[in-house]
Amino acid sequence: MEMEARPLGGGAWRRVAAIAVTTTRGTLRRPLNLLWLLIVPLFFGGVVASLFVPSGAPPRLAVVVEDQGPWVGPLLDGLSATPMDLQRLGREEALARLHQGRERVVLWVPDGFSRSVDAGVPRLEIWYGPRAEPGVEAARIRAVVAGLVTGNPAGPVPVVVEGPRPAAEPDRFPLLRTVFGFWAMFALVSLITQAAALHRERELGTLSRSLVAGATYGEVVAGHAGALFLIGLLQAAAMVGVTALAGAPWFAAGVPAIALPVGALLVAACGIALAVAGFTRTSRQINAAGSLVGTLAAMLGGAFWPLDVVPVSLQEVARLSPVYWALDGLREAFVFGGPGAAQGPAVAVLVLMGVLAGTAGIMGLRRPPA
Amino acid sequence: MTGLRQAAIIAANQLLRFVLDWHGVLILFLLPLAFNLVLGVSLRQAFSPEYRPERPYRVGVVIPAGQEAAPAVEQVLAAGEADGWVHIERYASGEAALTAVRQRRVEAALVLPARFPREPLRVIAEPGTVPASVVETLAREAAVAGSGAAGGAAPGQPVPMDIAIRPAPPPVGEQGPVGAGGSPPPVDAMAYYAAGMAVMMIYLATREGTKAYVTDRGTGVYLRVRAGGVSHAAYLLGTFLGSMAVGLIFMGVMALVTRGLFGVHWGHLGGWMLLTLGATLAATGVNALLLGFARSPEVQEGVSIALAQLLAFLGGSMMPLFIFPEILARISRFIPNRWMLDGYLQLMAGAGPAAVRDESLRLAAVGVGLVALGWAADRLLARAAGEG
Repeated sequence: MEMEARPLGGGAWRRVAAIAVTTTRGTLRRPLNLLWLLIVPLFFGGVVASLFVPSGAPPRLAVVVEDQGPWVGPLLDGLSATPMDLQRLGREEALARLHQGRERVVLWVPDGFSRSVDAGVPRLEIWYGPRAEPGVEAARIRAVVAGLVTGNPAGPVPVVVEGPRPAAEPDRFPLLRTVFGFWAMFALVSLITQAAALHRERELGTLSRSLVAGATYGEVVAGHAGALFLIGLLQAAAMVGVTALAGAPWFAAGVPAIALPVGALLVAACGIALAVAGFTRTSRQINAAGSLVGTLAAMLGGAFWPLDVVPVSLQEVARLSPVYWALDGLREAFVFGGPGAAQGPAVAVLVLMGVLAGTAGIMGLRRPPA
Repeated sequence: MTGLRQAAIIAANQLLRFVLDWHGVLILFLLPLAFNLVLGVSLRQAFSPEYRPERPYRVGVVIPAGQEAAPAVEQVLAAGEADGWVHIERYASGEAALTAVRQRRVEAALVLPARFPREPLRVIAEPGTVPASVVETLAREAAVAGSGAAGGAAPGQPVPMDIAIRPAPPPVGEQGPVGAGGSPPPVDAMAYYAAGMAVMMIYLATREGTKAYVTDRGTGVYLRVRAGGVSHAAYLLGTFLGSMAVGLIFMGVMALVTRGLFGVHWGHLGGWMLLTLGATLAATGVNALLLGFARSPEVQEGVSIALAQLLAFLGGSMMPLFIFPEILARISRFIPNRWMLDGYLQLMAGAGPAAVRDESLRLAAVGVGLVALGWAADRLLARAAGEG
């Protein structure tokens, strides 16, 4: 089978476009592909991701009160005013709920608490459930208890938290970041998996038929790369469109704020998909590689948890992931430097990744089949 | 007796087909082990209640000279710095601190206004991040301490208090899992995800049996074997037994490999076997039920992977259960993966077989029920297709 490279003329562009459009159409016609390209990503990105975003509601704190003294009321009022959503429970119920994972943290107000406040050394206990971190609750409790001793009446604590760029709806940015992270993972997995179409063409014999009909191998590969980009674009449009209808402010910082990281990630994902296709031989190998590469890139790149909590060495490794740079581009636009020029470095890295990986993939695809 | 023997032969054949497909075996083990490694290392610190960042978060601080609350605020910040949470950098103005945040020279800024407490203490940070949360917590403490100082109630002195922060004691009448040191041994991120990933992949392992059945139907092998005198019931029983055999072998290998590679202790062997039997039965049941919906290998593969991911997510295999929002935590209590994960985590934390008896029975009951449903659905579809 001859695999020659020729510059693309007008007819060649038409052939590339035809291959891209027919491949995209064929992909979208299969219900199973729709499950993976749209339904599963929308479920995870649109529904599940939104559940992980802080609601803005006051944090909840279960309280077990065993003291009857005069300082219990001011303590609870002070905690409510910070603000916190308090729920009084009996000791046994509170412990059971902690162990069942239904409460994270419980404040125990022991008998003699009021006497300890009068003595100037308030005594309390904070119980936490398995793997719960009671830092936020502890800070508020300490602050209110200190207020009881100093005589400073507890009330709304005069603190305001704001984003560096107030114009871009900073309070909603965690939602965008989470949804975008899920989408980035599914985009990578889907596009790598869809690159199996090249191998299927070879397995079914349609590749040799196209070559006999006059298309060059380069045109077939370019057509498939175009199809990958189109599929990714449709998936992104669905994700952004549906979540925007549900209230996600994707355009609060302007169209480039979202368009640049999406477009650049798609270029990188198409390149990586071609690279995976170039270094695998069967559809089954591509499917396995897609799940592995896409999910690992998302995990390492900070799609599922903030990179602030991972070891410093892994924070450096994250820079190898396209998901890291895509999230960085989004973050730069919404939180830090603003849309446009500030997104340049992230976009440039993604495009470079796409070009390098795509080139490697095309070289791999040129190898004669085993 | 002949039927049982035929079922056993079919099950053994399916097991053999699974083992000989080295590529499939590699994927089945490689994926969860790779995820286990990345998740275990990445979230190692986040699983510890004594979590501190390896590199303290840089905080730009603006404190006007002569502000009444300044000493109290300084004291709280110094305590946060000494505790390893933050590294303080001084800035002359709020604008300079804001610029430093925008240019990412610091993760957050804390600005004490000259008119505090009439004007609130400002925290500037990327919303929803750990540094934002840490600095907000410090700011709240500082605001209370500073308000007292500014109001003249206390000259910025720390208030002595006896606040103990400790793991919840076990409820009365229950003996919590106890480790060698007398306290519950921690289940770290590596162990959590060893269980989480195994539980996620058990559905794909037990799919091997039903996949072989669907493939046999597609290739005509099924009819050929039936023509040789094997009943539909024996074929289906062999299929489900084959699924269970692959599932049990998968869990056993995962336990041994994660023990060897990552040092994960799976706990009491008897408890592990009991729970693994229940888990394998439940996973086989889910795949049996899928037979009623997916009659081609391709559709079965796609749907089963999607379902396994969904159940894994809702059951806590991907995101740790302790960061689940309330609604997801409630939903997860109805998901078999959560029962499996809870059981393995209890065993890892030192519990005995009695602690996982309920989970094992629940899983087994669900498994038997789903296998029965899958059997009925398959029978119905076979009759509809004109098979006797």
